[in-house]
Amino acid sequence: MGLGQQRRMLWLLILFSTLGFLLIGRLAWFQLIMPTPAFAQHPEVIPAVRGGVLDANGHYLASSTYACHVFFRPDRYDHVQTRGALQERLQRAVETIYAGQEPATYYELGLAPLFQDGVTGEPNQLLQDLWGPLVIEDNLHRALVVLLSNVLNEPRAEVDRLLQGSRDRRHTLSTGVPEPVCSALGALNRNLDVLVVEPGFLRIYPDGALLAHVLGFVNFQGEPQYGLESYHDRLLRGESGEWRGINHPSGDRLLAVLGGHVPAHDGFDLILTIDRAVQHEAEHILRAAQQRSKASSGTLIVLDPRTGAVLAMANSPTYEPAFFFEARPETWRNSAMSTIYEPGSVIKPLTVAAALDARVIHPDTTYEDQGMIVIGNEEIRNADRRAHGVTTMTEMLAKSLNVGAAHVANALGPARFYELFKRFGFSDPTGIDLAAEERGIMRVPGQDAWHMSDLGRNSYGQGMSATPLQVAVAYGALANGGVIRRPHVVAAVRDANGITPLARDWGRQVVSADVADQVSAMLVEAVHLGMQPAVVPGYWIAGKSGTSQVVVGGEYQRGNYIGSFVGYGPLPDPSFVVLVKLDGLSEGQWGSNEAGPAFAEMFKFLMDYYGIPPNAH
Amino acid sequence: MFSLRRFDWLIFIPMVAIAAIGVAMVYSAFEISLPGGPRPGLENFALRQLLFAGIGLVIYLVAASLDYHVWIASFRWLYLLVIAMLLVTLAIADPTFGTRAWLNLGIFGIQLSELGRIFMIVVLARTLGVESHRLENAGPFLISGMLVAPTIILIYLQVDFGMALMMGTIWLGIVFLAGVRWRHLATIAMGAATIIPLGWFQLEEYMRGRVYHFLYPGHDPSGASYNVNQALISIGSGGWWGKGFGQGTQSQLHFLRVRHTDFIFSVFCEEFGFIGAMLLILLFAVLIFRLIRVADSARDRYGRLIAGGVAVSLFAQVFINLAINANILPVTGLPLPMISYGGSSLITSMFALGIAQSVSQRRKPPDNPLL
Repeated sequence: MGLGQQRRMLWLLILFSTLGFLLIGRLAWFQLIMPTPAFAQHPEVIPAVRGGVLDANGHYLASSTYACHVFFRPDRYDHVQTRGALQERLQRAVETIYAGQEPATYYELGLAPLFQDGVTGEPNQLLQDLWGPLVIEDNLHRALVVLLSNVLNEPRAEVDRLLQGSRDRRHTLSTGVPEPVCSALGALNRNLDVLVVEPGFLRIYPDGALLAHVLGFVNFQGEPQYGLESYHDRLLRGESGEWRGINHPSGDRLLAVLGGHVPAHDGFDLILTIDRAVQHEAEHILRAAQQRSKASSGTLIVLDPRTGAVLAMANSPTYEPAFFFEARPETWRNSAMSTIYEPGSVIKPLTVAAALDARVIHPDTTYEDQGMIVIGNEEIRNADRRAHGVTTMTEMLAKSLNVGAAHVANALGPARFYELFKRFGFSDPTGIDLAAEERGIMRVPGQDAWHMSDLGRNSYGQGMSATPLQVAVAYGALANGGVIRRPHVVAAVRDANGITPLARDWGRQVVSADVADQVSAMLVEAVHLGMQPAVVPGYWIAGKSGTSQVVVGGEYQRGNYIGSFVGYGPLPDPSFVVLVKLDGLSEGQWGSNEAGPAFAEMFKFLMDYYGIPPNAH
Repeated sequence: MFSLRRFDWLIFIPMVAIAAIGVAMVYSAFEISLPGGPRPGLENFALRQLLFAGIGLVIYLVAASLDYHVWIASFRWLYLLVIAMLLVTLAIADPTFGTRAWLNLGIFGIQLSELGRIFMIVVLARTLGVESHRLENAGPFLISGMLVAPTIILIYLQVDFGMALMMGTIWLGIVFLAGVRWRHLATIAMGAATIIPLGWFQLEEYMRGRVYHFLYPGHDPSGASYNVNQALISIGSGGWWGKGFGQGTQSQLHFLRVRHTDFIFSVFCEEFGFIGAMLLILLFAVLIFRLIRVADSARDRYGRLIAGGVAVSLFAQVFINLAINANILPVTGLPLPMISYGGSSLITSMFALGIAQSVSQRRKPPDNPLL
């Protein structure tokens, strides 16, 4: 065994050691030194699709669609190789499709829909526009400006400005970009990251402004505002999923760690009690009434008193939820339930119902109307400043006599009066499933601010405030045998497992069924006697008009009146409560004349639409 | 002859430690990552690996107690057996994972080329272990080349590039250690320099693809280089101390495709970090350096070349596997000895170490220590 062979052993050792340290160095590089942004494994949120809103017949009133937000990264764009790759991809896609060849690569396939006429598959105008800058001038920048401004619907000058803008941050090119464009840009951009295409959703409202106040909207931050969007946000939003796993540096999800892929649970769809046709008619009638009366705004509510289901809820002026940002913020508010007013004379039937229920009066009770009564040291007079002599309750309601209402309330006494008005729901939220409900103000005995004179004023709806919905719901008790049902707009929710009706077992007996029927009978007669514009031929309608003034700073404003009419029918088995309210009326415009006709129109439509036959006589 | 006094613990202890780590890693990288958790009985790869290790240990002890001259004496038969095994494999083997190197024997597949590799070390040691002056002419060198060439070709035809590469490396290593003259070695180098460019075009498409993806990593992440990327993610996410046993996100496995075999090292790196990787490499280093020491102090040239061949074989396999995991070399498909799951590899590795142990137990007294 020669020395030469031992030297070879040494050589081998040196080789092994060298290679070994090379390997260790490489491992140290990967494990200890090299930053691993490309390997980062952050948990990622998988967004849930926001649920839709459907009307009673299953028409979409709101829904979500996939959309993306497109950003531009100057740092990547300034990278020479990236630009080269981007240009080559664009050129190849343009040339392939121009030549009528089958797209072969991923990005060619992705871009093809943008460059082809949808029907014939021929190269389209965008492709022609790109040909010059891209193939003839070899100008990537101009080509990108043409492409992006075209597909993102942004002005060329704006895109050009952003592409040349500050290099140290990313620029927002467009938000809410529709899906085909998203995937095309994603394909073009794959692994290059010149553009950032972030997935997201776009909220769409197919019927424009229809039912805007009930629906609400979703703002740019994705936060729900007003209406159902806000109230039922938890149902609509769903539960986002989570992704923990391996992503390719391009962001593609490759594979999850065990249990690291929690799929998103999409939001529930809401199925409403509201029928889109009825709502449309309600909005149309309200708008017409508003124009006729030159009112500044108005509200129209249709309820089913038997269930509490809201069948229509309209406010004017309104707005388009998809373009909420173009409307003045005060129009976002759902006045039907979020704005309080002095209800006025529409309260009188409730005062009578309370007194009947307490057996202080009976249907045939009369009183001597002297044109004035003093309650709590305050004089109360009729609106016409006249005395009407011996008057029945029905006549009192037909002529809307304040003195009569105050007389009845005085006989009833504050304790029983307010107890019953609380039961009717005043100064408490109705509990409707919509966001931002107001509760109104009614002072009651025991509160410092209450005075005996309040009893007199409250008896005919002054000195207190309520929302239109509260008034309609209270009338629902008269229409429904004395039982109030909780108002609601959502009938059921729907998800992948099917439709789940929401339980509606809530009800509250306010007055006895007999009392409700007695008041209804009085109101039917009163409408015929004193509120002719609201009459619907062939149907028995119970109702009451109201005219009140707007209070600003404790003073009634002159020349700013609110006219309203609330009614229900057809008796003997009422299935609809309709409230019409018009604001900003001038002196001499009365509730029965202004709101009455709109009520009648709405009611007539309901009878026709639901096919309810007129009375035989 | 088995003597506890002469027993070489420096081969035995690292070997057992490495095999134990292997069983644990198969458990961590594969079994607990399965959707239903570890499987019972012999369906469980870790238990199987433990069983293989037991068999391997027995074979190791038997080989250690046998005089290695038994193998040297029967080298012709061994060579014929190698050729026969490779031909049989080529003829009837199952194509698993795109290679035909596996012979399916019921529940356990067996890779005969693994055994062939060990026997070829003996055959080459016998051929080249001649008196030094006889290496002045190219005879033994040419004969060794002629013997090894058919095995490389047969393994290559089984589409097992990694093993063919190993065979070539072992040959080169033994040729080098035997003292083949520099002028002869230079001739091979020149020959290789001519053949490799030509050979590039003869390579199977998948091999060229792998080289390509090695040269341009990240080019096609879901395609061929995907596994390497995943391996690098694993290694890179280990840091100093790793994520702990069974805690590697890769091992809760997504998609490191051959995580329990060829890419088990990256799982190890993820779970035990840089420190763990260094300890494992240290164990292999102790074993390999010990084998070289055994070769250096062997009683005769045959023993020297056998121990040296085993050292070269072990080093080459460990290095190539680790280098693939660390993306220094393109993917060739070689298991990490005694760590990767697989009975053939584990048992033949321990068999080879058993023969080296036999050489060690019969070594001459240390007169000229190099190490």
